[in-house]
Amino acid sequence: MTSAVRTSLRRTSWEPFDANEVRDLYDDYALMLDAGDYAAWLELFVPDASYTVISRENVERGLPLAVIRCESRGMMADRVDALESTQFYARRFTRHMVSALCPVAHDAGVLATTANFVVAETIIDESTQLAWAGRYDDRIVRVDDRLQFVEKTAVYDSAMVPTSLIVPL
Amino acid sequence: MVLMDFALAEADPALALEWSPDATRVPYWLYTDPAIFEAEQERIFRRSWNYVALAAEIPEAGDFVRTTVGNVPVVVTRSRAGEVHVIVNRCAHRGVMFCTEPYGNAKTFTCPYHQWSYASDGRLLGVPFKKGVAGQGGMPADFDNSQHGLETLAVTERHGVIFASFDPVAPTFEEYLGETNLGWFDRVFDGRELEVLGYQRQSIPANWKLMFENIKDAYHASLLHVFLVTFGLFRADNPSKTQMDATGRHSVLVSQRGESREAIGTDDIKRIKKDLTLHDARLLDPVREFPGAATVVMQTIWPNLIVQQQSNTIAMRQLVTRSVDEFELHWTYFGYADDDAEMRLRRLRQANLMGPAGLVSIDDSEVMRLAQLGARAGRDHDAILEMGGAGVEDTEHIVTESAIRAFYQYYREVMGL
Repeated sequence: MTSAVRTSLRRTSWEPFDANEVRDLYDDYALMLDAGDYAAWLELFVPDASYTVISRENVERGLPLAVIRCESRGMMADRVDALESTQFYARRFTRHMVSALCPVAHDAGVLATTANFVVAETIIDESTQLAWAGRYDDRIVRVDDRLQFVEKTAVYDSAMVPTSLIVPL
Repeated sequence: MVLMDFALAEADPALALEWSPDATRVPYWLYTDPAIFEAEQERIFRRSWNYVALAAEIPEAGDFVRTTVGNVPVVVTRSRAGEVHVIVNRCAHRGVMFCTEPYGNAKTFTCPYHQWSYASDGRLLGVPFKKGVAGQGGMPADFDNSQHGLETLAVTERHGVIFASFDPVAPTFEEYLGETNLGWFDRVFDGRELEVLGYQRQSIPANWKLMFENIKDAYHASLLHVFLVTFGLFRADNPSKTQMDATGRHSVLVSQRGESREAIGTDDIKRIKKDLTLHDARLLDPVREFPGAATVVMQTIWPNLIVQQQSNTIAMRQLVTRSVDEFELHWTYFGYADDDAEMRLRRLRQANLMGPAGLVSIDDSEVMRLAQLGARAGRDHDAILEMGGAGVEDTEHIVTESAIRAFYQYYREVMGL
């Protein structure tokens, strides 16, 4: 899984993808998660997509363990089911901020992108904390008339997670 | 009756902190009083075998990992001769935490401040300008390097697991753990070479004892963890037991997966979802790998380790005490060097259940935060531990709090409370 994390970052051209359309995909991603619309969030991925959240520490040490490891949209849906029905957690709100979005490679119709993220978390009764910062290493395809993620890897910088990671990064 | 917080007690006897001799009561000030936290560092963490690392993390000469014993930063090193040492990460000169890399390989350690250097066993090797510069200054002629090494801990290793103690006359680890709990320990650590799969770390705004109790608390597991119950991984009607050592400080919670979805004892669970199924069955595809019927064994080893074996996800959960109302949980997930690719992948997938984003363990980190918030406001109140009676005996079921009572019986003894 760690092979999905890029070590070399060089900008390439957006063509044949449209930069604005890719930015819209990231904006939708942030909006859906922060609105708690997980059904719409899942639709931003192809069915056999992978979604991984892993610490920078494990990536640097060459260790494969992630904190979230989904090998399909179904596995992501299983997480959503747990979030919406079986898990107990304090109510909270997140704001995903994505910047420095950059195309880094093209391979057989798949666009590889990288971007920075910070996520502010507000747990009910507490002040807002800047809880996570890190980088996305993603791969995007066009399916019919829209873009979807085939792979999304969120590498978070601080090894220390504040209490719990509830809303996906 | 024990009085703590002497200043307050002197000012107003009504503010004295009391602990009833009743084994079913635990006062909330145990989780909130900074004096208790300081006393625990001295009487518990400095006088016990603390888990520090797996030998597989430092396989080569010169390898080191940085960790913590109680709230003291230490480095676990492997010397050129292959011996394991645990040295306090605090320069003998001015107290600087000299090692800042989480892991690595180093022949010697040099403090960045005045460049005092140390061997991997803590010996002081060099003091710059020791004899002065151009006849000026320098350390006194009788300054003896051998008297100014780093503080070191006693070290013991069993089947690839390293423990350290500030107490030079600690009992052997085998005596310390006791026969029954040693047996459960050896079930996971059977001498096979381990393979570290990775780390997870989380900081939890709660007292460390809440985590230790949580794993000894058989009662909560089949109620709070709806995911486990829904998929049969842990349920009140599954064959289960708890077993303590003779002192009550260590314990195991043992259970086995249920075969059917319909179960007794689930009607009391408000969030139960009897019709929930997985979209991707690979998420939960456990295979039997240990002898015996147990499919989950959670072991608490006093004072800072939980050995987690739930289906095929195996991990060390190390408690790092930061303050009276904050601890960290450092998870080291591992498998065996002889795992095939399929088993390795299975362990990585099942890790979705555990850790700071775990489908199951999120419930615990969230509840502990709330337990601490409640304890803060309950200085003169007690928690009730009456499930299964008032005893501290082993049980053949999990509808009990006996392991928590046993823990506090031992805790009171070592804390003099």
